Amino acid sequence: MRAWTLKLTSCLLTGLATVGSAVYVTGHLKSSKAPLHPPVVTAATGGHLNLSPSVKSSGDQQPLTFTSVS
Amino acid sequence: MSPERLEFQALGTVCQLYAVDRDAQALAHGATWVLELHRRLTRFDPTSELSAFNASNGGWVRVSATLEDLLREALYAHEISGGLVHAGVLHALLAAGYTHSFSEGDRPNPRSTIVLDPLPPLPDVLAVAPGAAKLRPGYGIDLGGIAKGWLADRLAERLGENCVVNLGGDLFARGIGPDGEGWPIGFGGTTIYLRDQGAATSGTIKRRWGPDLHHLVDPRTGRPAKSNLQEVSVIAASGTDAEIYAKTALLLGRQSAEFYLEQHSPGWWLSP
Repeated sequence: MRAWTLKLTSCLLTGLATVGSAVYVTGHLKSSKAPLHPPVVTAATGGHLNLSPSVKSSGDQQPLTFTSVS
Repeated sequence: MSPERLEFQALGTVCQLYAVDRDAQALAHGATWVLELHRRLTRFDPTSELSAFNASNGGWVRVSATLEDLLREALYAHEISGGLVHAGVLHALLAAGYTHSFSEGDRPNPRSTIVLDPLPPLPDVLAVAPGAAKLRPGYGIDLGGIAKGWLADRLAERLGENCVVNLGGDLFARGIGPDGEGWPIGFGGTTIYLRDQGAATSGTIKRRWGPDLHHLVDPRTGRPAKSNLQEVSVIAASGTDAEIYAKTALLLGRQSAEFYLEQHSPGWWLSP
């Protein structure tokens, strides 16, 4: 195989990798305005619920008892 | 696994006990313990130990280990809340008309005018030593702000390694729960699983007896609090801490509450 063929192939592969990476990155941009932490999981009417990732929650499970104003 | 359950009235509210691997008698003993402490710590009974302490005239008086612990807890609550959770609000509550327990069927008497001053810091009002305590003349202690969480924590220790003690919404969940995932607790419209954690709610929507008259006194004014929050629920390491954080957040108002709770709690619910 001639040397210029190897050079051309390596240049093409490098170019393809660069273009492919650029296309992937621009297609998966993260919104700079997205809330990072802590996440708002759900909110009952009119209120604001804030649970850290360490708190396990389930909207489907019936509670055994609940905290409330008494 | 279905836990044993007991519901009863105490502390002016509904109390619930749940426990895995404990029988009904163990829960009944727990309820008896709560009722006994309620009898000793209520401010509405003039013969209670707390009423006797409130009637003391500024000197050192002997107090039981339980009352001493609770008074120390009140000082701790005052400290970690920046002075907002203040057990020395009895006279402010009376001045606002909260003279009767809601559970007695009588509504408190609305007062048309309330003339009160900001409260001095609690350590200027209350001093506690081993087996004794001293109260500044002209002031009284109301333990309603911290007693339920404290009692929930203590009773959970007595009930065993897998239980929930819920005293009117202030609760402590101990152990892995009935299915090993933690105890499913209703919290801010969803269900959370608590394991060796407490939760509590503070609010102004109940125990009201007139416009702007409710049980939550702001020590900065000596009057029922005016907050842009009506209800706050908080998760914490204990029921006592949850109750302190919830009350502090409510008194702070929404903006400061979120900042405060970010430093203290893994989860909270704020209702305007």
